[in-house]
Amino acid sequence: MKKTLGIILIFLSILGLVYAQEDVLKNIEKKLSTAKDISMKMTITTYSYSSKGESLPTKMSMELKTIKDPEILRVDFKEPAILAGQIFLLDGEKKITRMYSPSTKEIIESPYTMTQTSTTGATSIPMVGESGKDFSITIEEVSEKNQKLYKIKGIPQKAELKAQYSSLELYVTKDYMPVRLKMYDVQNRLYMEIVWDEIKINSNLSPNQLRTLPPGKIIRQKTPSTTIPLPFVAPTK
Amino acid sequence: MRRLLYFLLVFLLLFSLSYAQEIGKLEFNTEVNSNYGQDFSLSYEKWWSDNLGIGANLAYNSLSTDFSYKFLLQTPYIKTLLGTFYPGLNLLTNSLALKGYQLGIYIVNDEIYYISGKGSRIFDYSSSSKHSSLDIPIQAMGWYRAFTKNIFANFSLLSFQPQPSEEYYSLDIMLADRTALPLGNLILTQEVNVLLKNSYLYLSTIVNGELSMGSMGIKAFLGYLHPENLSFCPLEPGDLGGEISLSIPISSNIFPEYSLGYFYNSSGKSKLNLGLKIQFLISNYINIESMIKYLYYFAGDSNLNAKISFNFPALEGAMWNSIYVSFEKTNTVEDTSLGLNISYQF
Repeated sequence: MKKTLGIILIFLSILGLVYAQEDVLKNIEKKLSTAKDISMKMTITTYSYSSKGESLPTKMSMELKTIKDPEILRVDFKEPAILAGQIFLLDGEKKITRMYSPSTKEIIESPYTMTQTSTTGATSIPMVGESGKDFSITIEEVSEKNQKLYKIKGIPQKAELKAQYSSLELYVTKDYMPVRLKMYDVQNRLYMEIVWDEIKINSNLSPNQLRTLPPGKIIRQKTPSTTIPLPFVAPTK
Repeated sequence: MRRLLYFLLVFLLLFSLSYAQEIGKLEFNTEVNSNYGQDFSLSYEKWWSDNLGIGANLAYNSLSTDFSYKFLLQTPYIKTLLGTFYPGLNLLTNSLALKGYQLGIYIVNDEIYYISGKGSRIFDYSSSSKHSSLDIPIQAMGWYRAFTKNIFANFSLLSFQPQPSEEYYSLDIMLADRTALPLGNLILTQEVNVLLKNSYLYLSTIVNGELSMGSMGIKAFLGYLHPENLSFCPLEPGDLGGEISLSIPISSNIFPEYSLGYFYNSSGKSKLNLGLKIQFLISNYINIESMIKYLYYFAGDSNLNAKISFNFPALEGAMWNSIYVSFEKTNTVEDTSLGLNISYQF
């Protein structure tokens, strides 16, 4: 009887853990996908390694602001210097993208095709949403700088992901806000770290505020510009 | 490799080689100057494509009661400019303003043009220069050729009469080569000018390079203008020297551009040129631009030009309003301007 109870308890605790995992991931997805607007700072550090194994970091930082309705995304690049001051605007309502360059004081405007749908929600975070199926996930609680966080570790299951990563680690606050994502290469070395800072949800961002770029000559292009899947704000089809 | 790929992807986001066009612009400007009265200017441009557009500019000065105009018609086959305009033929005439007309005919990748009128060297940052008269009769015939999408050439034959009894000719060949870079361009331009004056030939030359990559850029030119030539560019007759300017952002809000130039002149007018431009983006709704340009002649003279503008974007950036103050001081003139500019792009 004791043995049976023990098995049941172990089974229930495993079941509870699975539910807890799903809850954490679902809550992150829900938190971000139901937001009317989000603003945040994002820093991406990529690492390359010398022949001696020394890591060589390269940092890129930006400020992201997005509104769900009308669908607008604005990215203000902060560093490195070559990108500082460049602003990218994706306007789903007007079906245009705009790129402001401070050096030329030009605003390049391109049509934004219907097949591209900007998604600023949680589905663009690896392991959150649909992409979670591609990973074997474990969740644990950790403490960091007097703050309790969920550490979500994902081991890729798909061959194409396995060829790139050994594991991913996503840290989120107890109220389901993403803090940091670490990606490890197949040699288990950190090769990219994304840090989200000063995340604000529903701070009443206005479309006018996001659409207003610094003065510049507007140049309209006939063909769509190439858009790429930036982490967390990747366009999906 | 992955890092490189990642950054290349970001670069792709920020840079596109696609065909571009500007649709339309309506601009009103008024400026009060302590020496030259009040200027009013109204301009309109409408472009349906890169080679189909119209434009007009009307300008009036309250003190001199001078009225000037410019009309532009661009079609795939013909370009017509009438009034006061900058022909912008090449590097050695890039500061030439002309009152007259220009006719251009396009044949496939070539443009054959003819220009006639009266002109002078005008610097748009200088009020005294902008209010000087256009009085040198000038005629030019030229051929602009695009060899490829990135290699261009301009051949022109210019005649001008600094005095009624004198007529000089100059032959000018300019070659430009553009290389597309991930976040910008590298443009190299070389130009040779041969002046025919009283049966003698005089050689002038200029080389210009512009490298832009994202928010950073370097521009430089090196040139020599023969003392017998007239100047329609920043080089004075007899100048041998160059200028370099460098743009590196201090932060994502502050964009300075520094420039330094030195020009040796055989007639004792050697000079040093210092410049600083700063753009400061305070918020989405206000930014400040300032410019200071100092020219020091080793013989003792100096020129100073300064300007500060406060810009206020409106209508989600389609309109921008600007108020500005500019100041100029040379050995012969000192003036201050206060201006208002409203520009609407549609």
